Amino acid sequence: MVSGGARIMAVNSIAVRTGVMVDQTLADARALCPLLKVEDYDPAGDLADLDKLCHWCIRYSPRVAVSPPDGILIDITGASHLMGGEDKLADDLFRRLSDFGLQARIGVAKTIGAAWAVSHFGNAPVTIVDDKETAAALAGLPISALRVWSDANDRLEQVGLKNIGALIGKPRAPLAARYGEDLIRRLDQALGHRDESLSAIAPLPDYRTSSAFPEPLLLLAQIQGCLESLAGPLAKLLAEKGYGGRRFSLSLYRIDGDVKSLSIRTGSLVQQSSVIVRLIGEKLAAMKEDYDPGCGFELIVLNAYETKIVTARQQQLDQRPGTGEQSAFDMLIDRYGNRLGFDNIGHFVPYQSHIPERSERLISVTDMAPTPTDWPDFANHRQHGHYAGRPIALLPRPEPITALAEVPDGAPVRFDWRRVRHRVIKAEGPERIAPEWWGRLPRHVEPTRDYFRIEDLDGYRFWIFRLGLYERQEKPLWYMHGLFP
Amino acid sequence: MTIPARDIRELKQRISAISDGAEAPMDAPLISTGCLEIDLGLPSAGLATGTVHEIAGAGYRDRSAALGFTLGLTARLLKERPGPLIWCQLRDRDRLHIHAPGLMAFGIDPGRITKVTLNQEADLLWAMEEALDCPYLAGVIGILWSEKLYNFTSSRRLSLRAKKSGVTALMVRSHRANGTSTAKTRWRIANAPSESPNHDKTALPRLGKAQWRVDLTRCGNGFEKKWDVVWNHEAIRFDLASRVANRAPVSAQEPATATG
Repeated sequence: MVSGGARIMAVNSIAVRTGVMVDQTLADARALCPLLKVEDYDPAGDLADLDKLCHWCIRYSPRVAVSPPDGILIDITGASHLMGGEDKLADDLFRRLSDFGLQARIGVAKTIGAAWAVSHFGNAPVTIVDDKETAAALAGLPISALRVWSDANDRLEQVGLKNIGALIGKPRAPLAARYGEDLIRRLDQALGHRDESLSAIAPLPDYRTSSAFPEPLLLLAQIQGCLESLAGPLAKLLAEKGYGGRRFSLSLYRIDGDVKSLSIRTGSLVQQSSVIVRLIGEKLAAMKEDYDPGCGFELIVLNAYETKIVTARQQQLDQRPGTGEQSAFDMLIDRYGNRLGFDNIGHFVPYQSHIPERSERLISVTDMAPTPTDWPDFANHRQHGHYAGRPIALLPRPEPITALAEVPDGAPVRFDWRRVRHRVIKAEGPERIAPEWWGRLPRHVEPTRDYFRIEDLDGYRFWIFRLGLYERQEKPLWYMHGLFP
Repeated sequence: MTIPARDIRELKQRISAISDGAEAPMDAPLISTGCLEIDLGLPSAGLATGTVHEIAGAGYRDRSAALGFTLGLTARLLKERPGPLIWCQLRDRDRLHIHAPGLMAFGIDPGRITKVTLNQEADLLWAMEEALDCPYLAGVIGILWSEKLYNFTSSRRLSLRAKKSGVTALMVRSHRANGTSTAKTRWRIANAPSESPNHDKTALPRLGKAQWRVDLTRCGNGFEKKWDVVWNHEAIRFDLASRVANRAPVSAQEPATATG
């Protein structure tokens, strides 16, 4: 029963020593400790900070996940030896977190469940559980260490099952029937009888190289140099496996826990260090203005994502004489894309539509089909030469004009567009473009358009259309849609 | 005081070595416009490659003509040089953007064009400079329509890169453009009434081929020239407009398809 004003949500170890506890009312806590320093509870802010810290933890292993409200899971399988063993890694992590002013509790175990349990309920700030002793280590811990968030804990306690050891070896079916399937699942997960995986906070790189610095780096030029020394081994790694990457990122770990990532994309598979260095180098150079090294960068990691086997065809192309130029073009497109955004670099592809503004599409170079579109073939065979008589420039949207036609279905004799009167002296048409009633909602079907190519007295050539038909008593409206050269 | 001829020769060599890209090397290939009179009117008897050419409309309304003439030169470039083409244009919705099916009708394969859409003029000039460093390209087109940054220095930067790579740049400028630049040629284009193929007197005549008044205002040797030019979209070349050439078809029947 919650009542009586503000309550304590979290305490640090100094407060605990004075007797302040979680869930106490603020008034009681102040009575126990008059010097108590209080901050407003900010769950969203806590989560955001946890998320930031989680990204920082990628320095230890790429497989890192947030475990709300107060935990971070790190999968150090195959990564601990890089730090000289599990104990060294845990000590390093603890020391660095202390430097940030964080009181951390660290548990290392063979399962997520066991690590969570010993970190939350273990005696020491850093607990490392040997693989064979998982059950023994869990046995003494209370049931709530199993991450079961139901009233099962209380009910188990009422019948005298106070710790996890009391559950191990008990018949499973009655336990599950009485206290829920969740309890058994969590128990199995903690003991490693059932798999549990973490979903990593950031996509896992396929390949990565890193260097750590005892003396933090401060200058952009140093980072550039580091990038070059990291790209070489990464490219060598990719080349040895015959792989190329489409996405690369350089993560800069600041000594105060801030992480900055610069990522680039490429249109084709890349395994040359020069390409990686140039594209990321441009991002680094662009960072110059708001470059803030703080106290310096202590770790720099270069990651390769979306790697695929460089196909034999591409290798052949690269070996053909004179194709250094093709790769120079790919490089140009990649540099455009990384500076201007790949959405702004497009190729024209035809689209099966008779409505002029829908008959073409500008597709980003990264979304291109492997075979380029054959426009002449498309125009000849599928559109039956419909493109003859299309203007070179289309207005972004048709602009209404006032036009005067002599005969109902004929071309106008004069019209006003953008406050200028034009007298029509030459005209061709109409070319009727019927609405596409298929694939659209009935009320969205537009009226028929009759297009005319016209030339005015001064020699300007336009593409205009009449919306609607005279014979149906629709009120026809005239629009300017394009310009001929 | 007399200066030995040897010294003058040496001086000239040194000057040409440090001069900018205004003079394309003699062995740079030329792009023919397809029209002998225009080719002969140019100092190098053809449009020089590896340099910058500027095109502007005669007035605001002649933007379509300037775009048409640029596309004509582009079509000639694409015909004579392999490789893709970079088309740089600002995003502004008010500016004329090319329509791919219309390019087909004009005689250009849109599949060879990579269109780069930019937010500001500085980016456009950067993108063109970068493109001119890539000899694989058939050409680079920049559409400015109006300009604030483009000046002598930026044109010189483009020219130097174009000269080095041999890639040709076409720059479409505002009709108000003035001032100096290192462009090899500068063209001013105005719309002109087209010559109707034939006229049966019962209705309005049909449109003829695209026709412009082409004014070569700068070409290096100082002579300004004017032509009435027609774009021949079937042969993909420029022709001179001529009343004599505009005769009725040999067979009296109506042409089967309309042409834009």
